[in-house]
Amino acid sequence: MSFFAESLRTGLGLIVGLDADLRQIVATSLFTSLTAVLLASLVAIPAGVLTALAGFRGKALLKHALNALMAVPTVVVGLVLYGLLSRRGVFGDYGLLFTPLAMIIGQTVLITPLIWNLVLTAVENRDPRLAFTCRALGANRRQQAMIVVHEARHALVAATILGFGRAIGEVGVAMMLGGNIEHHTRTMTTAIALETSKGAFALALALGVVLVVIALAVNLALSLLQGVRR
Amino acid sequence: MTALYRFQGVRVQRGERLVLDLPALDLGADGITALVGPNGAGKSTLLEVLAFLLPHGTGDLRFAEMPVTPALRAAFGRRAGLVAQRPYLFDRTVRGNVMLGLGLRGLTTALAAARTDDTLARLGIAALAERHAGSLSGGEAQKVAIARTLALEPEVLLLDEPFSHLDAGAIDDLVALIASLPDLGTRAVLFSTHDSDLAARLTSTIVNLVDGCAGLGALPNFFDGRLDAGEHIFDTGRLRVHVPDHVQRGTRIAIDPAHVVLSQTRLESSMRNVFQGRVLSLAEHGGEVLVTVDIGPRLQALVTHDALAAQALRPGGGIWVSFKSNAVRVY
Repeated sequence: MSFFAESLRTGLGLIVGLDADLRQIVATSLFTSLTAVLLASLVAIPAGVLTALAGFRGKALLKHALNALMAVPTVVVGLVLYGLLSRRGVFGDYGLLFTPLAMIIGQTVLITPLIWNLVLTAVENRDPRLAFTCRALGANRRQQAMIVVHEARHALVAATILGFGRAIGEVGVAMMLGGNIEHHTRTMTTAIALETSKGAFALALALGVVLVVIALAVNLALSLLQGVRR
Repeated sequence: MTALYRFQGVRVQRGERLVLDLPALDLGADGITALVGPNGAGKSTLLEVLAFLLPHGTGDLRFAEMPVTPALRAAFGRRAGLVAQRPYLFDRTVRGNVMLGLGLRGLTTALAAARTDDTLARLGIAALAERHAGSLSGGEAQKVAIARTLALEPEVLLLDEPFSHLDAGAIDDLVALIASLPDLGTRAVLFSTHDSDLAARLTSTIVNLVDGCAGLGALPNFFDGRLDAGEHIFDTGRLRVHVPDHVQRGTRIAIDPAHVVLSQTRLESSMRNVFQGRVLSLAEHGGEVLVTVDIGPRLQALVTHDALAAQALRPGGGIWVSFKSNAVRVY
């Protein structure tokens, strides 16, 4: 049997057998990314709705900035935060580097612009008749904003799901701020990237399978949402 | 029968363009009023002013005999309900759509639910209650939008081009629904349309809007009555009017004033409708003269200044009125 097939068989065995190491790595990944999505959404969804509804100077600039931030490579986000969180950095005293919290902060910073931008775009591109209808029904500004959020709810969930997809699949931040410490900050992506070279190919492959399944689930959730919209 | 709205010297501008110019206009009599005009005539703007969503610019507007001021606009706005052209329905069920409007007015859920069921039932769309708004046809969506506004119990219901984008069957349905609204308790209904035939099917109170100026209805000679299809005669009770042979049914006729011929003596011609009457008044109208004649009911004829001079028309004078049967439109 070839090396790949043999490893895949072993890897699937790890998944089926709920291997302890594998479980812990997956749990770390999920905990980190879900917490990051939660924190990012708490900031980005209200910010996206407010900046979409309000007219203010510098709005175009903000949109350019969000677009640019979405394209920043994850290692650059990791690099900048490393500079801030490391012992000699501004927040060095808190000793956050190479902790799950550091990864959470990093991923939150990474996906906040993404969710913000998606929410802003979705709310801005709402049907122009919506605002008029709200006014015709006598809604005040606060009620209008509530209705707009409700109408855009699928887009808000979609933005959150996309944010989660980006967080769970990224390597740069998790590697630079987490450090791939076993039983502590080892995530699926860092494990795949680093364990492979140490010969733990079957474990890496098992993690790859789990990651692909999560990616598929995210896409399935998105297309179900789009189905609801129609 | 007093009009709810009274415009005096109202001019509404959008940027440099004057979109409404209403020196004197009363609108919103009890029952149904049609605003007829081509696209871009200012119908939507007028409806937004009537719904108090747009300030009325310069001039004086009175609603229920009170001057409309910025401070009163919100309160008046709750007494007028506007259904926009191609209305937007919220991404929820039909019931949810109607409930939302009521919720905005602060009704409790129980009260709003009762009012919603009642409104949907009155409009004959109770069966749609649990359907999702996105699954409705154009005609159904229009009815739901009307229900959503009507549930707020406005004194005046304003409908912007309710028939646009609907097929013939849906139009017939909606005509019947709108015709029933005054009986269902809405004091005044105003709707805009570019189709004067549709306007005539619903009402004889027609206001024409061209380039932001309101004018007399294009077809002011409306009479209700009964058609005798065998004799090709329309009987208004006071007039028996010959109508075109092909007409099979109808309950209202309109006689185009431009096709009414006035003469001092009885004309011997192919025109089958000939009546004797008396000139009541003369008025300038769009470069021509609108002559109001009493032939039992009042009839209006539009003649040129030259014709007026040749006929020596004067109020009180006797006159003969003639028009061909195909100058009569039957609705």
